[in-house]
Amino acid sequence: MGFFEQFAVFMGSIADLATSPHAIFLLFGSVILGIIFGAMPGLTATLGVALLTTLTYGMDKAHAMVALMGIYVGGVYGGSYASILINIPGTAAAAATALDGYPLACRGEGGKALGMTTTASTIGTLVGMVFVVALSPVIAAFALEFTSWEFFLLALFGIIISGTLTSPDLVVKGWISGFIGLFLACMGRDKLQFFPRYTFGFPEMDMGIEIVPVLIGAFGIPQIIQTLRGSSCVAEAKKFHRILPEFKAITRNIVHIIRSSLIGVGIGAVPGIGEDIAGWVSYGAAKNASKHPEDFGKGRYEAVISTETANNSCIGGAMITLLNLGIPGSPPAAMLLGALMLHGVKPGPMITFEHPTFIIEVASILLLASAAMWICGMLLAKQVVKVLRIPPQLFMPIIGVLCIIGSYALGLNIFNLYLMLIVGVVAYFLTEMGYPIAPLVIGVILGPMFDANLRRALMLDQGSFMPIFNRPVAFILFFLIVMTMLTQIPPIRRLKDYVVGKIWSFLVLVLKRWPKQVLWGQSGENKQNLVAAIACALLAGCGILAAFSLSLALFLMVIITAAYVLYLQYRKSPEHGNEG
Amino acid sequence: MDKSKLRKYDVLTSLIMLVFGVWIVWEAFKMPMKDSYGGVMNVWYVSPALMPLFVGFMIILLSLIMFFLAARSVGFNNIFSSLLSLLPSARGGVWVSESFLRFLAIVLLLFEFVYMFIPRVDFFIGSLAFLTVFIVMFYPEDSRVFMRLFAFFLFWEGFFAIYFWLGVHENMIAGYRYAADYLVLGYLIVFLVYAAVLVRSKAELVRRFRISLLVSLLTPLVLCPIFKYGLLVPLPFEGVALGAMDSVWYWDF
Repeated sequence: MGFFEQFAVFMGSIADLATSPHAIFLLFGSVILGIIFGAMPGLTATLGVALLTTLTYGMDKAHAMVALMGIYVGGVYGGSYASILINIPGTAAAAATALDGYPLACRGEGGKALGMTTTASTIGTLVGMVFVVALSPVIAAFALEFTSWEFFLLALFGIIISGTLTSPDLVVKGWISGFIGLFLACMGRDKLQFFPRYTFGFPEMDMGIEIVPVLIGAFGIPQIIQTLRGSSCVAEAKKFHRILPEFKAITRNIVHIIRSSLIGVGIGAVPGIGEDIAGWVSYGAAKNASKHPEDFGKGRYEAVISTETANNSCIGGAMITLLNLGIPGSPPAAMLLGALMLHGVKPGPMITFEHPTFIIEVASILLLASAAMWICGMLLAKQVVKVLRIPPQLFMPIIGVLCIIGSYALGLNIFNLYLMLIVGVVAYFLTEMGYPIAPLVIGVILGPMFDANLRRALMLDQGSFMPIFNRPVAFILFFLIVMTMLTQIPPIRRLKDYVVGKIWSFLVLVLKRWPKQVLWGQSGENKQNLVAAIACALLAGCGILAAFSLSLALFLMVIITAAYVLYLQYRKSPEHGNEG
Repeated sequence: MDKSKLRKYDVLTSLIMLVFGVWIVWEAFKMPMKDSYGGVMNVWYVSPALMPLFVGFMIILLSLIMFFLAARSVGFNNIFSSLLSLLPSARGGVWVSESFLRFLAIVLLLFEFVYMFIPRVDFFIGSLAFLTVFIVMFYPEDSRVFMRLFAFFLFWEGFFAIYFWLGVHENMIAGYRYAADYLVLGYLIVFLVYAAVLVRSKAELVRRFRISLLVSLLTPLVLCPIFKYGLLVPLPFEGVALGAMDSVWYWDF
């Protein structure tokens, strides 16, 4: 499709939705529901998307997407209410907002802060939407060149990077969590030979575990237990008056908005990371860029604007990888993937062929959802604050019933409930022990892609791993996986930090005094820096080579051990003699 | 959880993960690796065991790394003593703290609802009982009320376990199909009477008790029609209450 054709589809989709009372009702209803889910501590955007998925089962694809995108956008934004007004983040994505939002509310500027975050969130969502439209064709075209090796490595990369970045404690725990997810994906009959793997003799397990009940269990049940295990009291929200922000205040912070939008989109596109990391990274970037970093934490508008812009623009970033590669960029996007599959849409490089206008339609829904979010935020803020007074002891049991009936309704299978509860309790224990849940979920989702593509790739290449090194994208992905894992080893990490630090300081120096004083100047310090940087570059090269060799050996050791055992068994078999 | 305590748990969880990884690999070795299965002659890269073996070996490798990191943190000589320190006797009976009991209550409530009520009891009555017991137990935020109601709930949990899982239920429904519905309704009424007796002394507790009842009743009243008549989802078990709801909905008198 050409640009004008795409633009026509985009405008047509907006017109269709904006003139349909059903769609408008759904849009505003789901955005408000999302804001409520985001605002209430204990409920999250992910849980909102998970529970609404059940209700969209009977809808057509377009209306289902309106409802799900609405609750996603509203849920991410809604977290700012509790953060600013009661200093308890409504969602993890809004945790960074509480640092400066609450001091603003204490100064009596809560309304202004909410107005600014509402507008910033809207702009962030819109920027995310622009990137969805602009980057999707490029990424889809690129992904069409991928072979099974690239998809296998992409799945592995998603799990590793998600485990690395979401782990609250040791990174190893994030990786273990990801591999537990892969194990869950192994369960059921394998797609190639239909052999039952880890089914425990249950016929219900033959088709593997269903994704949506697992996701509901993994996100919902731990949330219920965590919220109600300790005694909690309802905090009193700070009073506020004017919400509508001044245009000048927005233009004054436009640099922060642009920077945070880009950070959000970038982080959103990384598999399984999500809005909370985007919020924190953006907060850190705003603090570093500020002329008054010492005032951060005392009530700075640029801080709340940065975090809220980033976490909402993250939605666009997460949608890019979700739609074009089938890899969710955040936990709510993982839930959305399950919902899309229920509605017959299989995200991935083929989406532009199977559903040519789908990505454009999603972009138009994002645009409408951001507009609905702004309107709801401005008009209903004072009403939404009232839900903060509802104690969790009243709504959490209801969420429990919704999780149960939601898991059941998707397949009308009671076995899904049994599975959901077990997964939920295990997920709770894992969370308590510092294992992140996002990599587990990403593992469950990417497991089939991992398994099918690894075996297909090996079949095509007669069991050879060499294409990993022959194909540039596969090699880069492999290199990234290995480096991500290796840089967690303390001596290698220290070496990397030292080398990067030296090169960075030299580059800064070069940019400031290029080139005369640095290269040929009299300053001994500069010459020392130059020599140090060159030495570091050489050292980095050697270090990377050594680390790469080591990691290659480690990585292949695991695969080859498995392969060798299988090969020995294969050689001993009588069928082998017949074949030979 | 503070880091030093977490590391002690890490020693334990890494060992659990190690056993889990070994089990995955063990089970994977039982899969066809060399034989013809389903008309497909196996070579190692076609075997269904390939991914489980990879996953199992990775979990073993990573749990060993975690064990090493955790053991280094607690001290290699203190591994055994740090594991012993996690036992309840060494922690001053922390297993019976209120926080743990609250956790136990939530999990048992969910287990009771999912494994006992959902397949055998009318969904409306089951969810009403689940919500009522859950909210009445937790919403008052009163330790005395919580402890007593939890003990009461535990007694009934044991009763239902015997009733549903030792074959009594099958004998009862042979005589009357909806016997379990009335039994759960009876349990609910007894629970409410007991809870009302417990909270009557304080006005605030009585107010919360009333709110709990209202929320518990309204939720299934709203949810059941939405799923059953709106989304056309047949509920897991439809008994006395949903039969009555059908009669009202279809004006079937």
